[in-house]
Amino acid sequence: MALISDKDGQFVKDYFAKELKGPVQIDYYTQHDSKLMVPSTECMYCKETREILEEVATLSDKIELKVHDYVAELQEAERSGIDRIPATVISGNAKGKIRFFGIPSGYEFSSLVEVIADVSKGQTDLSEATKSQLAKLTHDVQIQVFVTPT
Amino acid sequence: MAQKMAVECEHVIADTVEATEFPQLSQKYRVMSVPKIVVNEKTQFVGALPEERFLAEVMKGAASGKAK
Repeated sequence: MALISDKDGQFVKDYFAKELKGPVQIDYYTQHDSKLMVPSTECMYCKETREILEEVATLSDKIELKVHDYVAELQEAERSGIDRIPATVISGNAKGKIRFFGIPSGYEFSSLVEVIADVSKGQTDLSEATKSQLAKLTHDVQIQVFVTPT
Repeated sequence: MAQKMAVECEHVIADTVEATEFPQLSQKYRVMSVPKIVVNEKTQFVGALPEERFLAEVMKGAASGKAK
């Protein structure tokens, strides 16, 4: 464990053991590590994001992490609506799409852990009233939530 | 909240964007404080809202425009 402390890692491992039902796939779009640094193209936290996701993937055998090279797999990335990196797509039993752009650290780390559990179960604690309203949607709604890593 | 909605509904795309890593996008939507939520480009609000009010904003955003 490098970025996630042993204590947090154990906590999340126990939480996943209790909460995860179905498999969860994490698709991570990043760039290759390069010795040559080009300031305008350098991805700020690609390396750290990859480390966090790799560590999270070791905490449950229900989680599969696939690392993609954004440039080499541009077409697949575009199909998933990925237009910037680092980008993380969480899929499994979710009906819609869940993506993270940027590093899921600080408060967003707990959000990542919780969403993995919800996606695994394919259900949430949203009220029945909310679910029936959402069921009335007939076209896509994009909700962008801007956060900072604190 | 957005992510839970995406788990429950096929039409919801929930994007979490780390503002400091994407300054151009933050500028585009004038992100001054977080969490800032943008629904279908047009509807915007700041801060955590209770489920009912969050849903109301999402439905308003859905009615106001199309997803990117």
